[in-house]
Amino acid sequence: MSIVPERGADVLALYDRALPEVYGYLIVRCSDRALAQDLTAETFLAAVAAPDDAPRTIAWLIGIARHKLADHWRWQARQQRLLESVAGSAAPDTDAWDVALDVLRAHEILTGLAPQHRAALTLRYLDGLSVAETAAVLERTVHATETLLVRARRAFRHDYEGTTQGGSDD
Amino acid sequence: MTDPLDALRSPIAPVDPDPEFAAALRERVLHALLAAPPQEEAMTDVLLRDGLSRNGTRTGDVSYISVGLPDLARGRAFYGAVLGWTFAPGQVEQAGNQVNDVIPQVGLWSGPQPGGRLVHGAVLAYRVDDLTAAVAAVRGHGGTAGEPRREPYGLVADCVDDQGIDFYLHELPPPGRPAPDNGAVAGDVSYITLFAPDVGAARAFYGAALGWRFEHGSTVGTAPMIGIGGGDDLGAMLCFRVDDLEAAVVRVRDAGGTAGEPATRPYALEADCTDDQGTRFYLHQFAS
Repeated sequence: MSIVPERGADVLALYDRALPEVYGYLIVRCSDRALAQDLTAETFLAAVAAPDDAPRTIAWLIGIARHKLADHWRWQARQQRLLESVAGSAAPDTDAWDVALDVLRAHEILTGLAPQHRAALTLRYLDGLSVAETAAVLERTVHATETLLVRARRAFRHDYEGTTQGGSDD
Repeated sequence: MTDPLDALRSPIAPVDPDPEFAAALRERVLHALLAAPPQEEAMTDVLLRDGLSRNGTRTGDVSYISVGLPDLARGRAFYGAVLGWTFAPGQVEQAGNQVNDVIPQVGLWSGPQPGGRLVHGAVLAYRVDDLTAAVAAVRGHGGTAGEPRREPYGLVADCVDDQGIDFYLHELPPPGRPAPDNGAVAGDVSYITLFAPDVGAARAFYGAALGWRFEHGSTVGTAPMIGIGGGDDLGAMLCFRVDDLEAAVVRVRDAGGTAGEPATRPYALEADCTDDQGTRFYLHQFAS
């Protein structure tokens, strides 16, 4: 009787090592313990069901977690019926802004944004994805993602300056 | 121009989730793994001989015996000569060390056993209905059990009991008819003695882990029949069925093994033997 590694067993072998990484990724981005747990569970269960040739690495699991997070925000946005209102108007071409962010406050601001704005900024800035990669995770075109990012940055800036500078919004 | 939002960049910092959540999710992942259909091929049927399962039918039945020997070629020659065994490759082991037709299924093996070490002699595998539950029972009663994994023939977990005896647990496809307690034809395993320093503890362990029940010192309700012996030895010793014990004893000696004189026991004629590599075994000739 010899030992032949089996696809799912690889996931289990990864589990102990990967759990804090996946949970750490999610908890920072969604700031909600119960949600982070749910998405962590969804991530590992999706990994079990993945095809045989999937790479079985922590980076691969983080990729799954990222999609779960984006799915969650997409669902949340639909729940709030905010998508249409965002898609309607044109975005400005530039939005220059040059300040040093208070990172703690910035994270707090993020949690208060509309889900689709939060998703775009999280993927683009916290995860450091390119616009094209962000677009792929959000399942939008690059152009639509650029527009979304501009709007998200504007919303973020509005709230950030509102909380740090007493409400000015010019 | 720099983008102030670049300050939000958050490389992943590991965070340990709530231990209860972590343990519960691990269980869910394990269950999902076990429930997932195998991708390469469907579970194959158990091996049958004349409709009798060679891999057990009930929780606690012996489903497989891995006979650890230093020299597999010598093993094939010896047991071929003494017991008439013939050999073929298995579903996993491709070198041709699986014994044809014998009940329960037997294979010769020279590699490490579940405890990670070489074992000279038999290492038993037991059939269970619910491998996850059985693994939990083994761990709960002082044994160690590896995570279940899928092999072409079914699910398997590597285990060591609380006294250091290596064994495997198998969750296998639906069975044929139960194998007889003492084998059916010459070459079958007729009885197994499991040697453990603490006989009472061994009965308690296997009773808890596999549901074994004992009557008159041997298991009832599972096959083949197993007795637990005390002393300094550790592990399983096999007994084989033969039609003519006198002739079999001669074959053992001719093949380079040793054999004591046949003795009359209440259950059978019996001879105490060793193979040419020093592996102890018994031969049984039953009345019927």
